[in-house]
Amino acid sequence: MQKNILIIGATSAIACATARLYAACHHQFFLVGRNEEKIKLTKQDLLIRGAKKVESYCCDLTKMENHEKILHHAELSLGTLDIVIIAHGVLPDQQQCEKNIDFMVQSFEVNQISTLCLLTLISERLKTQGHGTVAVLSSVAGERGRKINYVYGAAKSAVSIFLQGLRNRFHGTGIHFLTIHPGFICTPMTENFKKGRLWKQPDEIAPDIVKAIAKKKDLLYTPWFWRYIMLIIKMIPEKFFKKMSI
Amino acid sequence: MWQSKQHNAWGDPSKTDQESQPLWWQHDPLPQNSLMLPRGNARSYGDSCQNHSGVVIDTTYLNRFLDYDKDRGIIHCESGTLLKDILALVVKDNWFLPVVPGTQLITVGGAIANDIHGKNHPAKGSFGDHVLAFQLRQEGSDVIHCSSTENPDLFSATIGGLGLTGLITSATIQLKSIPSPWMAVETIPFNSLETVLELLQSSQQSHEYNVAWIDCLNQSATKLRGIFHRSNFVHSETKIPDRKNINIPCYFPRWVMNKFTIKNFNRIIYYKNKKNKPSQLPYHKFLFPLDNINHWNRIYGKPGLLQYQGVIPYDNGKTLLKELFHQIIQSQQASFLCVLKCFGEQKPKGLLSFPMSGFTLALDFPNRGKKTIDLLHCLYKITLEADGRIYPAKDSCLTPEMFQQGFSHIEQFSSHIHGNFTSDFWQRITGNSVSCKKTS
Ligand SMILES: Cc1cc2nc3c(=O)[nH]c(=O)nc-3n(C[C@H](O)[C@H](O)[C@H](O)COP(=O)(O)OP(=O)(O)OC[C@H]3O[C@@H](n4cnc5c(N)ncnc54)[C@H](O)[C@@H]3O)c2cc1C
Ligand SMILES: NC(=O)c1ccc[n+]([C@@H]2O[C@H](COP(=O)([O-])OP(=O)(O)OC[C@H]3O[C@@H](n4cnc5c(N)ncnc54)[C@H](OP(=O)(O)O)[C@@H]3O)[C@@H](O)[C@H]2O)c1
Repeated sequence: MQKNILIIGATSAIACATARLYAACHHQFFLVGRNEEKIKLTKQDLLIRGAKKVESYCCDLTKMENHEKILHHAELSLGTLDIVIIAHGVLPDQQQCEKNIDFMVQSFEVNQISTLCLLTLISERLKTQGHGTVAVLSSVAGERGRKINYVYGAAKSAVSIFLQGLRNRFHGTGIHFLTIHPGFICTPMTENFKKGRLWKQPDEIAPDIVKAIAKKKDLLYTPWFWRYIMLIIKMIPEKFFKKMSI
Repeated sequence: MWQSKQHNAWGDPSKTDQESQPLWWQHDPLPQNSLMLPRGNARSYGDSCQNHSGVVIDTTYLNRFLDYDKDRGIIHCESGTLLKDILALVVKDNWFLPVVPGTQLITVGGAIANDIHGKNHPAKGSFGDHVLAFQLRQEGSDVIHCSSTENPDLFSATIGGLGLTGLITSATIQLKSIPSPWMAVETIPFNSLETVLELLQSSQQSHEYNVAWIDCLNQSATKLRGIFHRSNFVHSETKIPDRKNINIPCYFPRWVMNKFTIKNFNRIIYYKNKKNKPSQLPYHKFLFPLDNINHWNRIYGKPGLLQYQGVIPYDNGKTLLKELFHQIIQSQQASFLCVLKCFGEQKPKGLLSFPMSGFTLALDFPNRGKKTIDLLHCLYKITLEADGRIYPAKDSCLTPEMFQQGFSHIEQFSSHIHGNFTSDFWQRITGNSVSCKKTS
């Protein structure tokens, strides 16, 4: 069955790889991003790969006043929203966050506030509609605070908790919320990291995301082994964890 | 899960300290004040896709389709798009890339920069013959549009230009039409060089794709045995099946690829194919048989493999091939991948394109250091003395003199090299670095 898919942060490498899989099945898209050129390229690519229709809207997502407009245009274009994927985000420089509160607050606006605002507006719309899936890219970094990225982690943690709440609130209504915890993925966001064996490509994890949406899973770790890595990391008592450098 | 990237040249699979920078979008900035080299999917065997004097720009994320004219069979895509992805898209509409190599896991940029050839050179020439246009980026300049009418000199320098003239960001390619994605394949065993040369030449009229696989371990140079395949695309209504891939998860110990195992492996291939029965195969099974073993280069262990590929003019071709086989068989170093194909008369568009009229022989050797390099040099010498040439995409040990001997447009080409672009291969064959591939 043809699906209507809204992707927020549609130029993210993970979102693009996921969208390609849906495009091959001839679904319809509404893409939201902030860079016109990148959105144009993504749109054209999805159309050639089989998307039935692709329309878009460009704006900075930290401008919350745009959120209503996004959803309005998406609904005008697609009618109902069957799948919503929220993928925008930044990985702020932790040291700069420690010294500059404006910078830190800005990163919370992208990674947390904008996502929570969007989730609030979207869930109301899905309630009226009576069905739909919202899949959000959170992070394993949100599961335990670490010195190297706790600003990013704290924002993602709030997103994960918010999603748990929504899941609880909408239980039994046919509205589904998926929290995605990607591990280490090679994307522009992680370009400056030294890559090792645990690193995967966006197109290697995209099939997991599509499958988890289809199966209406609550929580996805991708690649799968991150579930066990995080299980161990979460089990370490704080008394010891605070002394560790991981 | 197992598609993880190739980080080094195909023949040298162990990871290096090579600095690599991905380009995510066509307009992202290029590195500044650094020598650079664009890289595709690193399927070149030797150091032509390596650049230890600076950075390698990984273009594999530039893999978006930009335009597809289904009526005329013209595709415009970014340069890091894999041939595999193009084929998956276009075969549904009965289009095909006119030229494909023995693997579909290479990028459009890599296909242009080596002006690659396939099993159908006499019929369709090389990849560059079907490139209508491309966009090129050089540091500090706008995008340069190149085609046979716009910047034609830069166009022909970049085809087969080994990534040295700039970074191709996107290309427009003319596809060819096919009746269906199925191929009718005839498999003919042979027992002498004369027979296979006759088959290769006589089949050109009736079959577009022709290739001979030769067993270089089980005989003498006078009595070569092997299997000849010829094929055409044919009409069929059947849907092509999905293929399952096998993965080589780690490097095999060096002893795995020894004379005994290879000899028996060759025997199995020979007897398995000996029954001369025609069959219909989906295109990927015939054209890309090795692609369903991910990382097959790891079976050669950490030292990797070296490949010889040269072209020998038809005049006196038989005698020279005999001489090459004599050296190869005597050395007992060959492995199971040895193929012989024909190149046609047409002149390629690129200044440094490899194809020229003649027989082309390609074979892999496990890298046993000096012993293997000495053998390669001996084969190179025979090839070059016959006015043939060596394929840079497969090379790891040409000397500057040998390179000069094979290609006559080097000077003209050199004037198009962009200042900040270089590669280990280019440094080596211009005499700036004498290092051959690590000798084990
Ligand atoms: C199993 C196997 C079978 C093969 N069979 C054949 C065959 O039948 N015929 C044949 O011709 N070759 C064959 N090859 C060789 C292969 O097709 C070539 O080496 C090809 O160029 C590899 O493409 P790549 O995308 O991996 O590029 P790389 O190997 O990464 O790069 C190749 C060259 O292209 C340049 N380059 C890459 N991208 C760009 C860009 N965007 N802009 C400018 N320059 C760029 C690089 O600088 C380098 O010089 C085979 C290789 C393998 C492993
Ligand atoms: N990569 C990983 O290892 C990893 C791990 C865990 C979680 N994640 C999460 O996965 C999601 C996708 O990231 P990615 O890895 O695919 O990285 P990416 O390709 O860098 O994507 C991030 C996207 O967010 C967009 N964006 C950032 N700020 C924005 C703003 N203010 N307004 C609008 N768009 C904005 C960017 O737009 P521009 O293209 O215009 O800059 C970009 O498209 C993120 O939420 C990230 O936190 C990633």
